[in-house]
Amino acid sequence: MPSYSQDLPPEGGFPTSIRYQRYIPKRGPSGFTLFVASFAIMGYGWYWVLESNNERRELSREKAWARIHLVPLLQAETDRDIVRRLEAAKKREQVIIDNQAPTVKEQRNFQALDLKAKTPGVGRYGGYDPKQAQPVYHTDRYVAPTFLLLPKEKIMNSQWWRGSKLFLKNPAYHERDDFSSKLEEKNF
Amino acid sequence: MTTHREGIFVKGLWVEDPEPGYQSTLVEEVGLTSAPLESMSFYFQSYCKDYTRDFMLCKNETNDPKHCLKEGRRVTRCAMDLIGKLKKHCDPEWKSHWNCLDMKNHHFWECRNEEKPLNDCVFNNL
Repeated sequence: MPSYSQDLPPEGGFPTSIRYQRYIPKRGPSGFTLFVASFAIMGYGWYWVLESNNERRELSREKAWARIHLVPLLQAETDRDIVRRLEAAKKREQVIIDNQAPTVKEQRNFQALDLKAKTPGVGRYGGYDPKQAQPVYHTDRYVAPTFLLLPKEKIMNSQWWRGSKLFLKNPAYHERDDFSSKLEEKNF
Repeated sequence: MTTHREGIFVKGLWVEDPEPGYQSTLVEEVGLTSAPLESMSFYFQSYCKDYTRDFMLCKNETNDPKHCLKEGRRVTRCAMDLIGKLKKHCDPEWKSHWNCLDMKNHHFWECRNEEKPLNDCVFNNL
């Protein structure tokens, strides 16, 4: 057998002061404890999250109640405002009605801003009937007016700085140039 | 119940003149901004309970604003009364509370330090 030259340890092994073997000791928490610890920390965090959600719910409840308590006050003010404005609108319409020509007045017999007054031309069940004069609403409940007549003199042209419609190529129907707000006269 | 639509103005904006001759002098309006109102809302609820309940029950019957004008006036008068009393007895605490609310985006929980003396003051005086 041929003799090889190998790099062998010396006789009797290496001196013990030289560490040649790998040394990775098992120390610290085990895997199980690591999982438990992380879940514990997360659980603690989750617990506080749920607590703070409850707390936030209570706070928004407080905010809602504060607003609810104020509702009667604000509603009373709004009511007064609405009544004042409707009365003013009614007066304006009455002025227009009074200024009509006498023949027209007795022919058409308009009422000012009263949705339950007998309007000439309105038939029972809503159809057009020149001989009848039924009210628009037949119910006893209060009906708020959907449309209000506003005189032209007091209308302010919409300013460019109040929300711009400058570069709109397809404006709404009532904003097109060929829109006319005059109602077509029909024979009542 | 505090729902009403915004008007749709077709040709331009509408400017309303104050119409003369309407009974606008029957009750003095509550000229308060939001912060003092909010800070006093809870006290308002317990102080003016009868009037507010009366008003809301009346409102329940119909949507007509004209129907509940009298009860509404009573509510406003009670609120003005409460404001006068708060100003007279608890003015510094109330002022500090609503100034704090103004600073803190109307967050009630950030103004508890000012709320406590206000609560004590209101409890002792009203």
